Amino acid sequence: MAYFDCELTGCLLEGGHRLRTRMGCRLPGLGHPRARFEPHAHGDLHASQGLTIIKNGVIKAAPEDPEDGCPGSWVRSRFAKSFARYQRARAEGGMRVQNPLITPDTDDLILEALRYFEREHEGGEGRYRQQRSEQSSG
Amino acid sequence: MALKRPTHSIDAEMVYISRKDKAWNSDRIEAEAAELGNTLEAGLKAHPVWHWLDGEYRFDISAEMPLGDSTVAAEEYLEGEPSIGLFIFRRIPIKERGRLQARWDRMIRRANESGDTQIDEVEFFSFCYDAFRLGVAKLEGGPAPFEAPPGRAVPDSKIDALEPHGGESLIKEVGYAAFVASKKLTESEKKR
Repeated sequence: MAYFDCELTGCLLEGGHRLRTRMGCRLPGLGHPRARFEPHAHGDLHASQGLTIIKNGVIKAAPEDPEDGCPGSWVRSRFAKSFARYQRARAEGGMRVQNPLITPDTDDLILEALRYFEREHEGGEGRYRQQRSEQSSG
Repeated sequence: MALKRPTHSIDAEMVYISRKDKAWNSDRIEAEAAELGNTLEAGLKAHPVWHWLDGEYRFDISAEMPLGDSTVAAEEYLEGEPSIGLFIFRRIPIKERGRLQARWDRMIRRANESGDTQIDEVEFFSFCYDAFRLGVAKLEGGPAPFEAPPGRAVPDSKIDALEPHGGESLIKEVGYAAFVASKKLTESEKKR
């Protein structure tokens, strides 16, 4: 969530309406942001928040479709927030720490979301390691 | 095509109120729908309550739904207690859901193959009846309330008791909604 700090970008400040439109913000209260949405502004956001690391060559974020709007509004969605409490933290060595909310009776949809999230998380880490290794060998 | 940000909660109680229930504030829905489309039908299809009834928000009654510049929730459109009752859904277990999905796919395939895009009515009713048995946990209020035994399907007698109050169409409507409530993660929930 810290990567898309709406306060840091100025989106939530007074007068941030225009900036939110430019970023394709999907948080409520903006009306029809697609009307003046500028997809390239999304790339600027990544750069300003340190996610697209083409400049310093450390991480390349998984591509986000700019048409979906700013990722900041996605991580603040009710769905993402409600799922967050079921996530399992990583321990040293990569193992997942048990979450007491995950039991054999846990809803199948939550388990499906958890498997999906963890697979994506591990895939992202794999891409990160691969890029690090390519950079250090190159 | 851009994905829609999911605004429902993953663990919200899934509730359903029939489209025909008098508890829906139809005056407000129709007035808003008139501004959303050229015809009333087009406007209704674009209205958030319509999307909610279609299961887009997994029947989370508090989900924020966009309407113009603001957001609304399905619960704001209810006036009083539902006359038919409040259906409480449970997630259909993964194995049964897989079987239902296979039946659904078969029905669609047959309809397409026959060239007449209509689904077989008898097969559809039987499908919805089974989805109702597996996916409804409780009916609160209304003329025929019931609660399914824990971990077991709703007894046929309880479903049949609903027929005088909504007929086959109610069972089809609620059964299909219960099936949709148990759908797999959507593209927008996965952001993919």
